[in-house]
Amino acid sequence: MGDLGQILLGGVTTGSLYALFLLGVLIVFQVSKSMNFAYGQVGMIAAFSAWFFYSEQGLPVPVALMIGVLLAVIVNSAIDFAAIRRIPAGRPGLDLVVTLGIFLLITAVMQQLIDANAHTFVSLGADTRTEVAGVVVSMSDGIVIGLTVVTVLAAYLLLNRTSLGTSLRASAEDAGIAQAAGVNVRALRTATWAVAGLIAAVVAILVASRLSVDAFYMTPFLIKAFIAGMIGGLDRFWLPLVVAVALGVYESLAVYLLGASAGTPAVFLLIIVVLALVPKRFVNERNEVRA
Amino acid sequence: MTGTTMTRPRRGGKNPTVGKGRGVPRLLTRVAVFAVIAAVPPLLFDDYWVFMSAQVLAFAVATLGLDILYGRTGQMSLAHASFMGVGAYTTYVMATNGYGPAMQLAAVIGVALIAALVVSVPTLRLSGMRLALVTLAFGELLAWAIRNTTDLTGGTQGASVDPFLFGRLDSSEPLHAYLIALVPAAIATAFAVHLGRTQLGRRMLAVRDSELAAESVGVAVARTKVTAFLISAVYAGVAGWLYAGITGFIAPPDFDLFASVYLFVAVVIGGAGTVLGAWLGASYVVLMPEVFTLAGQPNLYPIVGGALLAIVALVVPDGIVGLGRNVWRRIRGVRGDEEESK
Repeated sequence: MGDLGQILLGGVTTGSLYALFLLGVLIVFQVSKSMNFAYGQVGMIAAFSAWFFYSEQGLPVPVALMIGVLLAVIVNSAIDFAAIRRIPAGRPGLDLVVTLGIFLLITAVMQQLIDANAHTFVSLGADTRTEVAGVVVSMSDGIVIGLTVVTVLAAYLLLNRTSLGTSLRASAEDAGIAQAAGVNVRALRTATWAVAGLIAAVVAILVASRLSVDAFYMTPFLIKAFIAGMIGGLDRFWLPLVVAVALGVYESLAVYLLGASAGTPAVFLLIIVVLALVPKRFVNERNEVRA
Repeated sequence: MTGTTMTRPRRGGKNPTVGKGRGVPRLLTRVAVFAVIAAVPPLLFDDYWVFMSAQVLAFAVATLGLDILYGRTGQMSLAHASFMGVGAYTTYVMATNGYGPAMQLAAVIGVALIAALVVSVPTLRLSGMRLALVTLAFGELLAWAIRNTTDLTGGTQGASVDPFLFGRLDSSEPLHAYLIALVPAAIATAFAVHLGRTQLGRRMLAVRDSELAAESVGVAVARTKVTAFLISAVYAGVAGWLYAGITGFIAPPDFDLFASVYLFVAVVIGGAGTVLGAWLGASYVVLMPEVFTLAGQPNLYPIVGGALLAIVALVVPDGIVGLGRNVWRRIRGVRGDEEESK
């Protein structure tokens, strides 16, 4: 029981990180109908530059983390401002191509500015452990799960119970009409991208504190969060987030049952099987027509 | 959406009205131009640049394949380099078991087809964006497979591949490698050109421009997308086979996500949807790192590549070929006006 409990806890924690990250993807997709392939690298900027500032430049850790988060927020807003908004209408898929370029650019620039090696990150509570019913729980696990639950609930309430949420959903539905009804669509859009940048930064810092930090570590993470979003549907709210947590649990169960190297093939097998078997109406986006 | 359909009529579309009289000389002209360009490297370049030219030929097969998928069908694959890797590693495994190049090629095509079927069939009956994400996972899977089969594939250290031997041609000689690569590259080009005139090629364009419209006029959208993906995977596999034979050494970083992104950069910069663009892209992806190395700034290549991809996609979505076509049209347009005013 202790073993299995430990596995489940690890899975739920990883899954919560996927879910929190995916929340940032979802709000951006729902407001601006675009995918940001460089999203993981935005988070990487926060963690990697924070590491650089506290470890190489000797700044206090909290200050370095704040600078990192601020950079991520600025970069994510800039991606929308400089690139996504300028995509001509009627070219579906160009958002992925453009952000693919930004992905490459950010990776190369960070590698050039800092270096290409992996570094241990400040632990942020991953070392403080207690035992609950035979399961070792670290403070980091608690922070991750708690933060995810609070953030997701807050986002849900904000979107569905406040006038700000109504404006957001209105501008997602039809920007022109929302604008005519007095909603400041552009400001809302920029705010969404900024908040998404904040979420990416927090997740990336948490992931770095549990693993290590370099210019590439967020890419596998991004792939899994995107996969959860793809299975759950990017225009929904609860289903993709639940899928994200489940994916984390599934991955750690696969690793536990089949060995440490089984994670990647198990995830690939899962998406192929899910996409092949699940009825089309469950996995397709509702508003497929973007013409 | 209609804009792209309106502004990009395929030349081939007008051909039936032109009649057969002009088709043959035109084909001969094209073959002659191709032959003249193909003769330049072996006649004028030294061994090293002939070797680089041979690599351009291999990568041209890859970019032509990606162009069929992305440029013509509008589907995005982020694992095109991984499919090259499938080809290259199949070649390696076949070569270590004593099979010659012809058997290697047959195995490469078979394995590429199977891998592409597994990736595309469940994915492509759904929306195109999903394909991009599943191909990402496929790239991860290939990297994992290579890491965990060190005995078979050489693992992260890479592996040296025996050169191809066709009669007296030996692909470890740059000139011979160039001549060997010329044949598949020419066939791939001819097929890609011809594809634009077939029903399948036009179905692909219809799917790219509007899936909904394509479906409403009876195009089997899913089948067209899967066919495009299979063709592009075979192209990538053959490119991997050539790459392994020409360079003689393969390693996982040659086929990772970044390599796939570079191929994407190549197709977009060259000009998506055109054969010429794919060739320009292949030259870019092979020669640009060399240029930066010669300039003493090899680290600039990825930075410039990323910036170029974003900027070109936003500002000149049709790449170099589109840019050239616009300039050509403007020149001709100006001349036409002058003639009219006379």
